[in-house]
Amino acid sequence: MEKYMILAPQKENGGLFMQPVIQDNVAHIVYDEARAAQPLKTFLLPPLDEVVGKKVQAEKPWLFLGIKACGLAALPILDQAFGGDFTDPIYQKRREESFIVSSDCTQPWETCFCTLVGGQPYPVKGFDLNLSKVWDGFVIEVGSLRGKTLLEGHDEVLKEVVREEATALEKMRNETTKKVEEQNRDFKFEKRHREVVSGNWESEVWERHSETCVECGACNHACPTCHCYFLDDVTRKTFVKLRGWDSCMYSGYAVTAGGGTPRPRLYERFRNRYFCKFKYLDDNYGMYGCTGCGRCIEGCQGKIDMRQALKDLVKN
Amino acid sequence: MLENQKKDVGLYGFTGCNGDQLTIIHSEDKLLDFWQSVHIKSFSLAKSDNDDSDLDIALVEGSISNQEQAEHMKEIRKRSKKLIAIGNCACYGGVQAMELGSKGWDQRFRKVYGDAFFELRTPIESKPIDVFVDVDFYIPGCPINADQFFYCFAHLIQDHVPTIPDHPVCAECRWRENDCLLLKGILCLGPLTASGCNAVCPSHNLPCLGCWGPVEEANVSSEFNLLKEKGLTQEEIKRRFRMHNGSGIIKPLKKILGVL
Repeated sequence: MEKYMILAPQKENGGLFMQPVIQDNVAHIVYDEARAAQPLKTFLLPPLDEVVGKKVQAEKPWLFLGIKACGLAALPILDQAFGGDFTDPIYQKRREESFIVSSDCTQPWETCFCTLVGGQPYPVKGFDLNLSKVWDGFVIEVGSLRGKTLLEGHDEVLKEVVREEATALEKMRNETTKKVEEQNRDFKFEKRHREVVSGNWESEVWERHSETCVECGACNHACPTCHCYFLDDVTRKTFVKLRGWDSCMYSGYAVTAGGGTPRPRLYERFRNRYFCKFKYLDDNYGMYGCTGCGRCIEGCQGKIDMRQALKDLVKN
Repeated sequence: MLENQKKDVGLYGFTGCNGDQLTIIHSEDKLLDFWQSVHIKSFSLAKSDNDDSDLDIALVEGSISNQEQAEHMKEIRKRSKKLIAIGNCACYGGVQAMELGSKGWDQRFRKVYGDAFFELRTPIESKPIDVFVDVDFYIPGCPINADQFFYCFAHLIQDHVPTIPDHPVCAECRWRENDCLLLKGILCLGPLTASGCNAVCPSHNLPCLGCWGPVEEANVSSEFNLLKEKGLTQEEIKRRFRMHNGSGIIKPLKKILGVL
């Protein structure tokens, strides 16, 4: 374990936050419950990072504990964005080296809506190991060769899953799924998200829902799949290029040379975000950019609810 | 840079705390480069032999608060090819222009100074410099950020137009991974305020006061309603909005309240 720097969800002020695990807080790790406040991109793609002129230092790779299904679902988007035709070596290195131990969601937040966007509250792929808390132990699922290797030589703490445990696990998963479905009962619709969004370019919903937006960019920054960044050249002692999270809610976003912008109005920027999530990313990467983690609803000052906006679009 | 290619630059300060000029003087590591890259014709805070020759670039800080300053400002504009406003006072009017746009300046003035007779200067309502002259570029801040200033300065002396990222303070706050103060119910002006300060106040758990002036296209009315919902009075919110934003907040506030 000395090979990795371990990050795990810990309780703080009623929320869950990914924090480095040290000797003192091992006992406080929250494996199950719900997703942490920070998305995985906080670590794979830090908020502000030196990308050129970075001091080369040997940093330990990360081991993430307690990542939920909505976190894993975001990784294919980032992988394609930073590892597709044009590879980003910094992201690639961090991604390949880090080890992901996911776990089942048992107490989803009020804002969670993974079932609405085709997800489920328990991981099915994308992890190295998955831990599902059953009674006073864990059911471990191996998802990769690295996961298998890590378990080797620890036979003294491992045993076969018995039928009762498997049944209990399935029951727990069904219960959580039902819970998420239940709290999103009012927001459910049959139509495909892609059609709902792309058929409503000219809708008053965009203006109505963006009225309370203060353009703080919290929805973008908290989103596990939002990955737009801006680059800035800074001269410190030597030249450095900084990469920081950008936000498509800012009027400065997408400004071209000469000061032109394709989306001068707030509702246009607001609409663009929904189109990006449910149409553009689907066109480019073949998947929706929304994993239903609910962070954008939780972090919004203006109480904008993505579920309600989509539902209103369907009604149109 | 060759001697004959160097630009003639002048720095001028009007009503304000001189904090922007001081920020330049306090950048010791860059001071020699600063002095060598241009001909500094005038910099009253730093040297005594200042002349009034023609300039390529004039950097002006402070707001205009008497008739004589207004004339001096116009005279500087006449002999400079480019005029750059530095600091919040020059860009938006600063704290001394917090009541800009509302009526009754005469009464406010008399309340403070009574019937005092001003022999040397003729006081007027304090206003940002762009009320009197055309400004080519604005570098906001209270005081300016040295890194941002020298970045812009390096562009300007090579006849480039600098670009300052158009982000609210919220962006920098996230980069520093701070907790959101607004979500805690604290009156923070982060979403309305231009970035560049590196979110210094919220990083120390203090709310943003908006000292960098408004960010372009900010949704002021939404922030206004949001703070009202949090239980703050209209007067209190208005007072905070107006504190540093001077001329920048007049239009959106008028739209919300009807009158100032």
